[in-house]
Amino acid sequence: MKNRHNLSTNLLACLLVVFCLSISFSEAKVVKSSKNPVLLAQRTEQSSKSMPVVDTAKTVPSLAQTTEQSSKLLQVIDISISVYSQPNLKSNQLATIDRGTLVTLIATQGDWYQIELANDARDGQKTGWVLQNRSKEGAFALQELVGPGKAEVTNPLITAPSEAFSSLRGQSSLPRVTTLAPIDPAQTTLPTPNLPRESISIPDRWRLMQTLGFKFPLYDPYNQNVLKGDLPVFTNLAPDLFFNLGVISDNLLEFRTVPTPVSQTTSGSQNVIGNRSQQIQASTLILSLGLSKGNTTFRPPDFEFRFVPAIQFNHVNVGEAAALYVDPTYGTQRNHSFLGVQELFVDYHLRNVSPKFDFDSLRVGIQPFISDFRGFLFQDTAMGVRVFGNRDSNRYQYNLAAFQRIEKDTNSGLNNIGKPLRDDYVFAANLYKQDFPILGFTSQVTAIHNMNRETTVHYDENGFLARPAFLGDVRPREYQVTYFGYSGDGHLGFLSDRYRLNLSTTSYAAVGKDNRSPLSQSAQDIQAYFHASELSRDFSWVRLRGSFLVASGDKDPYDNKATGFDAIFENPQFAGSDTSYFIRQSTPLIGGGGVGLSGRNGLLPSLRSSKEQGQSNFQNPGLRLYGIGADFDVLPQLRLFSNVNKLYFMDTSSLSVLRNQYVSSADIGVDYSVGFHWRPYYNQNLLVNGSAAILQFGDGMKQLYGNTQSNLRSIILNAIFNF
Amino acid sequence: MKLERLLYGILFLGLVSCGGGGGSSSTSISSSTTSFTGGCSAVSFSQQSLTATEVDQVIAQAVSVASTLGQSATVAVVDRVGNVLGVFQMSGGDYNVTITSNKGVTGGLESVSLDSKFAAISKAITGAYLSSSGNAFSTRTAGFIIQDHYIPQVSNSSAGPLYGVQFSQLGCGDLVQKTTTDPTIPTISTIGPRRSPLGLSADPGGFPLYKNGMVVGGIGVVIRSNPTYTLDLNPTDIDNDLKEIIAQSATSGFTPQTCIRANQITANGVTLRYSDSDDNLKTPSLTTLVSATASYGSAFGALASVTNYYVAGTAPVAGTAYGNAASGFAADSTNFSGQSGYVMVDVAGANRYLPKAASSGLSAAEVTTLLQNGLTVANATRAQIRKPLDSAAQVTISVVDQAGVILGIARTTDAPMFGTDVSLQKARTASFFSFLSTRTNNARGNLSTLNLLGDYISSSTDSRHADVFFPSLGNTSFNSNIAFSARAIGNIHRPYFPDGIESKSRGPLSKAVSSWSPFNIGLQLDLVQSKIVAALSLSTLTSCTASSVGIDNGIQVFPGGVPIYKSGVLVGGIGVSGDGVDQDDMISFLAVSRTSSSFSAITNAVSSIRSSTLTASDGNSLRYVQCPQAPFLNSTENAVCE
Repeated sequence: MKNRHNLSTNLLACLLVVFCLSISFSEAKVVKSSKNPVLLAQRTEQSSKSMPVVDTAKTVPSLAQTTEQSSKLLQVIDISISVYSQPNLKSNQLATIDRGTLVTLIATQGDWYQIELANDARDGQKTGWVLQNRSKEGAFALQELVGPGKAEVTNPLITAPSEAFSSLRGQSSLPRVTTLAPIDPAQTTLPTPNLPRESISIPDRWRLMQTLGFKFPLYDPYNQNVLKGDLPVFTNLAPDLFFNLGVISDNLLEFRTVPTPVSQTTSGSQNVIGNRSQQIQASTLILSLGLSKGNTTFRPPDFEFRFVPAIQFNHVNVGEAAALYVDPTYGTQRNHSFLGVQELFVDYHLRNVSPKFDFDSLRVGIQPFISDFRGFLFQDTAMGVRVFGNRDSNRYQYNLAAFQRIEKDTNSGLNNIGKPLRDDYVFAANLYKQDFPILGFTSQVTAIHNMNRETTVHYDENGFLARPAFLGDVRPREYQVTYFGYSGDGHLGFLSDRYRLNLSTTSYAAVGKDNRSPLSQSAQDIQAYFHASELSRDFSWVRLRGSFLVASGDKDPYDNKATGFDAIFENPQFAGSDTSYFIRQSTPLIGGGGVGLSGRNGLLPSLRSSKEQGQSNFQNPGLRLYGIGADFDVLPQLRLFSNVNKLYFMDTSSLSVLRNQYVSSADIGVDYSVGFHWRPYYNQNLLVNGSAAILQFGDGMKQLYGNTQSNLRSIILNAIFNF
Repeated sequence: MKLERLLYGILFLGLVSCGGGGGSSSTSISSSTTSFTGGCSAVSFSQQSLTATEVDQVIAQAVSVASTLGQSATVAVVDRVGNVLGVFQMSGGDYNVTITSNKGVTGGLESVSLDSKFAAISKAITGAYLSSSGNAFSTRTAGFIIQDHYIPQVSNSSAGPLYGVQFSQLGCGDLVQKTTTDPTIPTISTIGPRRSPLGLSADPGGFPLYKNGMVVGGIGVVIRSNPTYTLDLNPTDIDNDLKEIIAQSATSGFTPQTCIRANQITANGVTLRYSDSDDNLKTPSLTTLVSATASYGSAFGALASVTNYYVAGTAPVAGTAYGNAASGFAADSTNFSGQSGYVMVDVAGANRYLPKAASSGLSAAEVTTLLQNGLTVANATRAQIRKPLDSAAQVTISVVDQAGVILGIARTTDAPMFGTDVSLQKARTASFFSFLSTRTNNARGNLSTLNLLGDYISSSTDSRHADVFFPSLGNTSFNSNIAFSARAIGNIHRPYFPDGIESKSRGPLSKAVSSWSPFNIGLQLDLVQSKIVAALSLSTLTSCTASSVGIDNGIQVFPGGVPIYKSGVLVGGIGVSGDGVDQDDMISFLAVSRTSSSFSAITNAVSSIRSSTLTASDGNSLRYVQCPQAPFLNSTENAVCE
C-alpha cells in the first residue's frame, strides 16, 4: 500500500509568475506612455542632393512651397566639433565650430554632412565636412532642422473668433459686468519650425526628470527607474533598449489534512489511513528579467528577451512516513530547494499590419500560455514556438502555437530544464473576438491537439512511478486527443445594464485515441466533454457568483470508449479555485493505485499519478459542481470572499474497478471555504491572503475512505511581496 | 460606512462557517448513483465436475494445438481439488525441465532438474487452486504476485502480495493428500486437496477450467522445445509464449467469464495478469483423442504415469465435484451451518478437522467460536479479488495450537483451494514465531535444531542478521516476548527491508538480493527445500522440515495469520487465506478479538508485545496487521482493527 501522494507546492508559483509578468508588463507600458519619443533628424528627408539649399535667413518660403523647397540647416549640439576638408577623419581640419552654431547643409554621405563655410575658413574653402556621432550620454553632435521657411498668417479663419464673439455679445440684452477680451491669435506669433533654436535641447527626454533635479532611488518602482524600463540601457549597443526587472517573493504556510496511508514499517496503527496532518512552508523568489527594444507606447516592441528564474525552498512535515518518499526510512519531514526556469524566450515583432499597430509577433522559448480565460485545459510555461497577433484595432487576437512540455520538479512544480523535455506535444490555435456577440463580451474559439508519446518508464523525484501511472496493467501507453472549445468572458449588458451581470463560460469537446487503456488493456476512442460557467452580479461592494461545471466521466472502463474528460495541464480559476479544498489539495485514491483522485490546484478527478508529471487519463469518474460564492470589498484594502461548492462524480465506474468496490454513491460532498485578500498599502506590493476550507464527505467519499474520514480541512496563509 | 461593511463581512463569514460545521445545509442535492457492476453476474454455487470425456477434450485440444504449432507438449489435467485426471506425453518420450528464474543466481531450487510431468501437474494444480467462481487466476497471475516487486520491475514497489505462496501445497506437507495408495492416510485415499510436486507454479502455461461458472479443474502444459520451469520477470511486455498459447487454447469450452479473469481484477488499483496469449490463440482441430482402433492418443503420444501422482489408464478419468464428499470438501451442518461453512471431509463425509481441544490451552468450544467468527467476518467482508464487485470474501480458516497441531479448519463455500494449505501455514507461522515462556523450544531453539540459526539470525557481524538487526533483542531474537503475525514475519522475509526499497539490504529471514530469486527466497524455502525434492519420489513424508517442530507443511510469509492468546499466554495461531492480504489479515485479527466477547480470556496479543513494537536498527518497525480501509459490504465502517 504505497502512498503516491504528491506534496508539490508548486502551481501557485507558476501562477504567480504569470501574474507578475502581466503586472510588470502593464506597469512598464503605463510609465512609457508619458514619454513622447522625440526623434532626431530623419536622414531619409535629407538625402536629395539636388534640392536647392535655401538660406532661411534670407528667404522664407510660403507654406505652399514647403514640400518643394525644404531648407536644411544643421545646428551644432556638441560643445564643439571639427570641420574637415573631406568626409574623412584623416583629412585636414578646416575649422572648429561651437555649440549652437547654425550651418547650411549641402549634402550628406553616410554619417558625414557637407556644410557651407564662411569666408574665414582655412584655405578659403567654401565647404567642409562634419561628422555626426553620439556622445556617451547618447546625444547627437549635430541636429538637423528641416521645415518651411516663412511664417506667414494666410488663413482668414484665424481671425474669425473675434468676429463671432462680437456677434454673440450683440445678441445679449443683459448687462455685462465683465467680458473676455477677444482672442487674437495674431498677438502670438505662430510657431515657425524652421527658426533656429535659441536654447540647446537636453540629451533625451528620459533624462528630463534628472536634468530637472528629480532623482529616485533604484528601489522605487513608482518613479522613473532604470530597472522598470523607464530609461534606456545599453545605449552603446542600440537605441531604445529597456530593461525591466520584476521581483516577487511568495511565502506560503499551509496546514491540511489529507488521507495518508500508514507506512508498512510504522508501528502502531493497524489500519490503512494514519495521521492525516500535514504542514507545508514554501518560499519562492521569482525574478523576471526582461530586455526589450522599442520605444513603445502603442507600438509593440521590436523584440523582447525575457528570463524568469524562480527559486523555491520548501519544508514539508507529514504525519506518516512514505508519504514524502518511496523509502519510508526517509522520515516525515523534507526540506527541498529548487531553481526552475519559468520563462526564457525571445519575442520578435514580425510586422505591423495596420496604422493602429495591429501586429504579428513570433515568440520562441519557454513561455506562458493559457488555453482559455480560466485555465481549464492548458496553462503552463512550456517550451514552444508561438505566432500571435491582432487585427482590426485589437478586436481580433490570435495564437498559433506548438509546445513541448517541460518536466516539472516534483516537489516544487517548477520547470526542471535539467531533465529532457517530455515526449508530449501541444499544438494550439485560437481566435479571440472582442464585443462578440454582444458589446463587452469577448469570445474565443480554440482547437488544441495534445500528442503524448511517453512510452518509457519515468519515476518522479520521490521514487514513485509517474509514467505510466501505477494503475491498471501499468504498461506504457500513448495517446492523442484534440480539444475543440468555445470560451466567452464579459458582461451581459444586453439583458439590462441594471443587472450588471457577468458571464464566464468554457466548453470543450475532446476526441482522440488512447492506444492502450490500462484497465481494458485495449485501444480506446476518447469522447469526452467539459463545460463550466460562472455567472456573477455586482451589488455595489458585493459580488455574488454562481458556478456550474460538468466534466464527463467514463461509463465503462472495459468498453472501447474512454469518456472521462481530462485536461492537458489545468490550473483552474473557478469556484473559489485554490481556496477550495477539493481544488487546492490532491487526495490520494488509497487502495486504487498510485494516483490522486484529483491534482493539486486542479478540478478534474482524473486519476493521474500527478497533474504535473502524469499522463492524461480519460477513464476517470468526471465531475459535476454546483457552486455559489460571494466577494465583499469590505475596505479598499480588504476583500472577503466565500464559496460553497457541491460536488459529484459523474460516473463512479472507474473508481469501482480500481478499488474492486462498488461505489454506489457519486456524492463527493460539500466544500466550504472562506478567505481574505488584504493589501495593506492599497497596492500590489504587499499582498496577504488567507483562506480556510473544509470538504465534508458525501456518501461516495465515505465509501472510498470510510466513515471516520468525514471531512478534510485546509488553512492557507500567503504573503506576497512584489517589486 | 467602512465599519458597516466590515461587520457585514464578518457576519457572512460567520454564517458560512456555521454552515460548514452544521453539515448538509444549504445545497442539498440528491446524490446520483451509478449502476456499474463490472459487467459481471454472480454465479450461484453448484457442484460441477469434469467428465472423462471432457478431460479427453481438453487434452485433445492441447495436443492438437501443440501439433499445429509443431511442439511436443506434456499436458496435465487435474480437478479442482488436485486429483490428476490425465497426463499426456507427446512423442519423444520423457524429458526433464530445469528450474530457473533467469536471474543468474544459484541456490535454492535453481538449476534443479526434474521430470517435465511434475512441472505440468504443478501448473495444472495452480490454475485450479488459485481460482474460484469469482476469480480466474493462471500461473502467469501467480508469477505476477510473488516477485520482489509488485509490479515486477517497478522500482521500489513492495513485494508481490502473495510473496511466498509458491511454497505451499508441498508434497512433503501433512495436510495435502498423496497418491491413491498413500500408506499413511489409507481411509481418505481419494480425497483432496492434493499436493503439488513443485508447489504453486509461476510459469506461464497453467490455466483453470470452468463449467457453468464453477472451477472444475486446471490444465498445465510444458513443451520439449523450452524445457524450463521459470516465470515471467518482465510483465510490461507481451510475451509470445508457446506453452501458454497451447494451454489457453486447450481451455476452449471451459473458459471463465471474461469479467473474472485476473486481468479484470485489481489489487491496489493494479490489474493482475492472466495471459499474454489472448491474441495468439489457436482453434483446436481435435476434441477427442479416443480412437476405435488404436490406444488413446497414439497418433501423438500416450498417457504417461507419474510416480506417486498418476497411474495412466486407457483413457483420462473424470474429476470429482467440489462440495461432494468425494472431493474432500462438503458443507458443514454441525458447527458452521450458520455461516454457510464448508469443511474438509473424508470419503464418508466426516469432518477431518472437527474442532477439538488442544492438549493445553484452547477448548473445542473456543476453537469452534474462533472459526465461526472468522467465517462471519469473511461473509461480511468485501472481497478484494472477486467479481462481481462487492462479492463477499471467500477464505479458508485454520486454527492450530502452540505446537502447530491442527485444532480446526473451516472455509466459506467457494474459497479458492490454495488457501486450505496456506491458511494452515499462516496459523503455524504465527504460532511458531511467537513467544511462549513455557515452551521448551521457541522459534530460536527450533531453528537451531534445524541448523538454520546461523544463516539468518545469530551472526553478530552481519548487520542483517536478526540479532543485530533488532538491537533491543540482542541474542534473544525469536526467544523473547514478541507476538509475530504472518505479516511481520513476511516484513523481514523480503529481499529488501523496508519492503521493495532497492537502496536497502535484505530483511533478516531473506536471501540477499544478489542471490535472491523466487526459487531461492530465504528461510521459508530453506526449511523445506530438501523435503520438496525428496517428495518427488516419496509419498510417505508427513513433515517438510528435517524434524517436526510444528510447521510440518512449511511456513508462509505473506499476511493473514496471528497468534492467539488465552489469559495472556500463547495458545496457538489462526490463519486465513483466500482473498486479498489485508482482508486475510483482518479476518484473522477480528476472529480472535470477537471471540473475546464469548470467551473473555481469548485475545489477540496485547499491543505492548506485538511485532509493531519492535524497532529495527534503521528505525523501522514491523506492522502487525493491516485492515482494509472500507472493509465491509454495505457499510462505510473503517479503522476496524484497533
